[in-house]
Amino acid sequence: MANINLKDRRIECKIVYYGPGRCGKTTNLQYIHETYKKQVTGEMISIDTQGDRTLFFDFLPLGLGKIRGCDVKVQLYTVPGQVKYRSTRQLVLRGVDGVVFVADSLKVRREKNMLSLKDLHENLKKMGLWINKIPLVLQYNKRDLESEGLPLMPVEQMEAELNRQLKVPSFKASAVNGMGVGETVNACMKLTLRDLQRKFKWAQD
Amino acid sequence: MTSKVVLKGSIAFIELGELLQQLGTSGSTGVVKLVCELLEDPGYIFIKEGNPINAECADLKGIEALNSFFGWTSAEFEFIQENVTCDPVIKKSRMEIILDGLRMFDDGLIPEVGARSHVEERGQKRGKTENDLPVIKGPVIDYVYVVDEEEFPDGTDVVAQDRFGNWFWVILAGKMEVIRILPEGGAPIVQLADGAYIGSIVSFLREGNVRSATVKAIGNVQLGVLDSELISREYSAMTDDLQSILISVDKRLRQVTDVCAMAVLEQNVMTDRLKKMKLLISTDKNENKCLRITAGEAHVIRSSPAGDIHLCTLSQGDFVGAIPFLSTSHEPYSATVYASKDFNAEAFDLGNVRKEYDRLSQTFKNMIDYLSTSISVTTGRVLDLTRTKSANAPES
Repeated sequence: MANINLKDRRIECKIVYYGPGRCGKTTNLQYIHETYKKQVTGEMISIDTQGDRTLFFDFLPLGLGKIRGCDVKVQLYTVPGQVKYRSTRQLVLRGVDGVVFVADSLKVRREKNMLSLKDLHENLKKMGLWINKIPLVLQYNKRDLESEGLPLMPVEQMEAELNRQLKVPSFKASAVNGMGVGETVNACMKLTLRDLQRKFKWAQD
Repeated sequence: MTSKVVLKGSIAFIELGELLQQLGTSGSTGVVKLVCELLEDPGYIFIKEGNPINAECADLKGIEALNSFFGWTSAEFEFIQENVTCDPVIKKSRMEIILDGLRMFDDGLIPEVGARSHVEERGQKRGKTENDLPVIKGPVIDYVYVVDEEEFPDGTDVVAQDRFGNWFWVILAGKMEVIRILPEGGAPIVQLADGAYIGSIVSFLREGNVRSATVKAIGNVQLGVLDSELISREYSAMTDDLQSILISVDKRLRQVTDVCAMAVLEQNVMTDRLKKMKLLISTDKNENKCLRITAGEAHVIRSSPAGDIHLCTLSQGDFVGAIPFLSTSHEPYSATVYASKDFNAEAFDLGNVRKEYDRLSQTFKNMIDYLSTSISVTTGRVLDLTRTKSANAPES
């Protein structure tokens, strides 16, 4: 649940990028950090966790309104996929307000996507959260690799396999060139803020 | 700014990363004091406007000291609001410190100092002696209850099973071996080291002073004689509910010790009777209920690759389920509970008992903690023994 910083009249919420190793979570966050510089506050923290990197930075969403006069600050995180990073995952997922699940479109990564989504479900459950209740968007990343002749899964197949039950917004993306990155984060932030407004029951029009 | 404690609690409840985030969000200035009962020196983190600027613990300073605190998983903390005048030695940002500290902890670069370190690490095999026995250490010794010191030479049976004895000790220095004697022979169960208690306070006070195992000195040992009158007084002042919980947990330890002795003597500890019983508590459901048995029997079963191990049978007046201040490595997370057909139980509200536990003396808390550690370690040994037996069994 988001933190309310009464001193600064600011609501701090947490959005986490989740997905199998090397699916492009880090690339998404690096692109956001680079492209939306004006909205980024403070430096990007990058920790070299084995097989993946853990990233974190603060982000001020524009045009999404305030909640009862309070600014909204979003903390964006990636979470390390490796099982052994239990403590990091716990810290990152505790109090999470919204999740972006980044799936890898490469055919060979099909099973990894499904395992990672199941893992997200399990890890959220440990925190007392439910995957079908938390604001969640899916991103089918690496769509650009098709032009390089690499076999990708059709979006319809990914929808059927990952989103059939969840029925959450999903986006095609190519994080290396920015395609779909902004749409994904914006959709997740909108869902998250709407959810917070509903929870706080004191939204302002 | 005058100094005052404005926040205190347990790291087991609010982890260090979360605590630093909270203090960061509120832009607080002051000192976090961490106390871990297994360590002599407290730790200090100096925070200015929400950001850690220095830390120290014994000889460690700066980021090195701060990183080490991520391994203190069972410490208590206090945040003292005051002016911080020390030099800013730590230059990293708050989130970088937290994420990097947790990463190093998960990578095994920061050692864990907490409940799990009761089992001492030695040599290549974790927590095992040369004889494959786990070693149980107790928490830091509280000398308030120590009224005398005694020394025993190597090989002395300080306590002999089935004999009467009035003394109750804590090991100050040296090692001892616990041996449970069954009709089939003597079975070494565990070794005890500094801080471990000899004698069960519960059975000592309620069932007279018949010893349930032999405890032998391995090398010369120095023991502290505990003030049994003081302990007895504190125990007698407890409510019936807390006393009953402790009696029930002590009963578990005795039964698990017997199972361990049987496993050491290569007797069968497996059960195949589960189909005839109903499932009461499953490890899958993470249930936090606590039940007091009013009729019938509950059987605590631990699954292993070799089969289902029957750890203990609990009956009327005993407790099953989650007891917050006891972590026994049994149900609800690691063992399953099956009930007999005539089983009946009532839900037990732990609220008042928990408050009572919080008010106990540190020595008594240490004893209770030691009791649950003993159950965990002895259960772990049973699992190890059955695993070894299963691995060595000839293929059919």
